Amino acid sequence: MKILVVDDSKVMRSIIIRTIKHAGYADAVFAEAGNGIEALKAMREGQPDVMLLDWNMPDLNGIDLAEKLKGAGIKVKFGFVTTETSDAMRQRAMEAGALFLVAKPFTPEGMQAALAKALA
Amino acid sequence: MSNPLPIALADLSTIADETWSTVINLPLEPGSAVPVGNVLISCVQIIYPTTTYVVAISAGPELAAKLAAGMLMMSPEEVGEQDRNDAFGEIANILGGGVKARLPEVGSMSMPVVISGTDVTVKHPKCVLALCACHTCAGSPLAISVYHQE
Repeated sequence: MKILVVDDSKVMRSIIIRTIKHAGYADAVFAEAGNGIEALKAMREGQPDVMLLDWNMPDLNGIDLAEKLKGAGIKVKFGFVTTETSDAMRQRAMEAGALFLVAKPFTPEGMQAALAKALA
Repeated sequence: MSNPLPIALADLSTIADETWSTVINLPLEPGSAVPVGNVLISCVQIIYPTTTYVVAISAGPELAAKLAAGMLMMSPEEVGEQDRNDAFGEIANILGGGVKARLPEVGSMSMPVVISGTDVTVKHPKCVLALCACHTCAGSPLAISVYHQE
């Protein structure tokens, strides 16, 4: 299984990957991207099974990337891992096709539940 | 120091405790002093049409390296300046998200900014200090503050 982690913080990408491994996905193959543009490049190199997006990022943020993918008809399972989780953001994320929205700080249990839902 | 916020000092401590226990892997204790001398400050702005909040964390560079090390599960000696600042910015980002969750919905949050220097402080043209929670972590002081445009 290939998981693409998109976050402008290298430290946060590292924490997310470690948490996913602890959540029962130790055998997953991880790819990383620092913003939406890098994520598009990573997707061209190999479609991930699931993508985890930060919301606020420079150049192309997570929600703009999600809406761009939806607009282009590109189907990929994805969700958000973000510090901001208002109802309005949750609704916009779901309308863009997000399968989950995990709030930072997160636990392995929360991450496991989100990924299980996405990969079901 | 005024407190016109819809959150209290106890909320700030709850947000900090949650962050420390899930992300940083170091104990966070109540403290009584703000860091002085050579410090790092990381902050985010939460912007509304009519007001602004700034959420900031300050600590000495050695503690900031220990926090990054806790997040990365490595020793502080292995943490470079870039990772230290990245981690410190991410802490402000998470704290800011926790504060924003307790504020009205329509605000937008900036990306974190990290600065360092001797006796540096947060200076926003319109914001004043509204809350300051002093803590101790790994034997060093750190402060989490919220500034608000009155």
